[in-house]
Amino acid sequence: MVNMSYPTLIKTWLYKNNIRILGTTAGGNHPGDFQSILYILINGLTSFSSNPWTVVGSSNSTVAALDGVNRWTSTSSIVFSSINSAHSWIVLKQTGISSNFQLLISCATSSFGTIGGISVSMSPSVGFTGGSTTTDPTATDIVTVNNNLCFTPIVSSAYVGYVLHIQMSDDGSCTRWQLFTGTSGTSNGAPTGYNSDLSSFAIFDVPQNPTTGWTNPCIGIWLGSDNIGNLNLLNAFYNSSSGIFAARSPSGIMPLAPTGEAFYTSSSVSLIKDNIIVPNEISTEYHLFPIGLVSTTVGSRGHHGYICDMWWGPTAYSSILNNPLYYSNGLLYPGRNSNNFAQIENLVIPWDGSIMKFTGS
Amino acid sequence: MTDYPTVYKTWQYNVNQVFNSTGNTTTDCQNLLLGIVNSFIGFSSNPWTVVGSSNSTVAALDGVNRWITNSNLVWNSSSSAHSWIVLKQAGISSNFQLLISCGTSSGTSAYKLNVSISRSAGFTGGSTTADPTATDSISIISNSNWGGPSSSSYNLKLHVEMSSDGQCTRWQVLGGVTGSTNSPNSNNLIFALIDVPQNPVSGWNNPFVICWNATSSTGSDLTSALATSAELTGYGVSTMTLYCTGEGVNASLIKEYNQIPNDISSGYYIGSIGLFSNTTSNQGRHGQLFDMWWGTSIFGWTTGSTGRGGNGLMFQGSSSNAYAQIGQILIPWNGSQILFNG
Repeated sequence: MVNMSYPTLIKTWLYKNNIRILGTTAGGNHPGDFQSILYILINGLTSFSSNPWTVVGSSNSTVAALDGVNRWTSTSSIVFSSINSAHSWIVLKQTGISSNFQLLISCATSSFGTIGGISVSMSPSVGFTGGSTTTDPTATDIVTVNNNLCFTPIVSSAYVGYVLHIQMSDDGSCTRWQLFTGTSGTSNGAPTGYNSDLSSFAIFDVPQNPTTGWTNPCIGIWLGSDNIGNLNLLNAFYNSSSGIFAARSPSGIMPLAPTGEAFYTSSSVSLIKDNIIVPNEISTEYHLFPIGLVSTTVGSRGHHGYICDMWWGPTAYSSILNNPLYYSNGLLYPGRNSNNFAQIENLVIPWDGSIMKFTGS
Repeated sequence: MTDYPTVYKTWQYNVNQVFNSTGNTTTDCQNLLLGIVNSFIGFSSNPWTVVGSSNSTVAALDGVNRWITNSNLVWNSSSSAHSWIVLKQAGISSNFQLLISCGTSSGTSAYKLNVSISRSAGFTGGSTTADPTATDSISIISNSNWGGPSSSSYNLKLHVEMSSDGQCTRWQVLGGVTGSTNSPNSNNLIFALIDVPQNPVSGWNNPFVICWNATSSTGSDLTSALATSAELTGYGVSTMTLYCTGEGVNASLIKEYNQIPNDISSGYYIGSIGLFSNTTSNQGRHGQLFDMWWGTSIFGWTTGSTGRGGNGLMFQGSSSNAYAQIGQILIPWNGSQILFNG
């Protein structure tokens, strides 16, 4: 058991954790696995018991309209293609973020073509219009989240399955999901039974305590890995100074970088979480640290809030099994009950009490 | 609009004390150190008390304050007749004591001191030629500059603030040489605090942190050192040094990341100051400072013609001049206009 100084949750959370997704073909099948994952993800987002995401419109590559119809009714409805060819897309809406916050997931990319891969963008308030089987809807306040996202590896090695975790606050203001891609064996260097890559990490949130004057505050991020062995997917998240979160201020596009409590070591600044290699030697507890949001974009500079109910965890666990590739995936904290928090790499999120599954086997 | 932080303590102020240059650095040092001690023991609520003292001719731990005039402060080598004083602040812990001794290996150099604290055991012994000792003493200044002028006589401004419960005492000295290149010639000669931290981690018994950053010459921003090295001393499992932390991103602290007001809210960044130690056996984040914050570093001290830096910058808060920035750090203020100019 980890002795921990636990934070108080701001939100009440709904969970769809530990969703097992089997690989369509042993050894990897693309785009089959991509279709399965997206299909299950969309079903998860639109089926929460309180304030679920709703469908604004969709394309299954043969019919497309922003008419409230979900045409992603089976995995085969999800068709990947290059830009300007017939492809699938879907626009989702979450009024918990703003009255007309919309998220576009398009299966057309310039890099991945029919193999798989998506383009993700959001409209904080105006909403998407237009769109056809060959073109995506557009929005005047569109914010690109990720233009060429491969959300799980396409290398055809011995994948045996995936595990998807989705969490949403019951007011709809915060949605996160994580996808683990598993392989058999231990070729990725992780201990037996722990062989799993974090291959997708997404957040679509209203920040906590947003800056006064930030209308329709929201942030979006969807990181993915197209390569097995990229066991530190969140490295870009940790090391971003120019902005890894997509957002829009009243002045325009405003990438946001995550912050953490830090101090100078020699001539550089180091986050405390990277310096916690043992529990606090006075209290014997591990501590969690809030994650702030800052921008250096001219017209939007400043500290603009915090991520709700998500914290930096101690880096100590990145080598807890004497294996630097394992990181902290699956580490559970009991909290005030049982398994109330889970650590994924260096981040800690609220958890539903279950044992976190993350292996593909 | 700046989002001002909550002030947790009720503060007592003895600020804007003027110590003009006498033309003699020893006299300047005597006046300033006596002013600091008198401020400590002069607060109306829970002031520091005198455990004992030496004026170099009489010495005892008998509750008598023998530092009555500046001539009672006599510097000398540690084994020769010299002055010292032991102060006590029960707001920190029931028997927290501070020893200030004018007996150092630098002899009569009045800009040097020995300063140490006793966490709970208290100081005993002492004579005109020997400092009292304590079984749990921790050295804070050892034959080092304490902020008194050394080579040039300065016009000085002393500011002392203490929380009404005695838990937090801070003092700053600003000043400089008239007409120096640091126009409007203000330097930070002392930035010091003795505090009980806010939200100390469980298991930290009688928590305190102490810092007495000082220089005896012009040309420094002592608050920047708080950001760049472990300048605070405390006692957890053993004696430890602590860093002042702040919110940071990649390679910068936020206070220096954005040098302008927030583009959206138009407010300036004000961030809390945490306490982190990497001293062996004491590692961890152990709490934060009460009522002290990082300001925007653009206002911090800068060499050259913009030398005023943050010194004297006032923030309104909910009332007039409720906060003052010294260097890169913001503290509660009493509504007056801070004096900082030498």
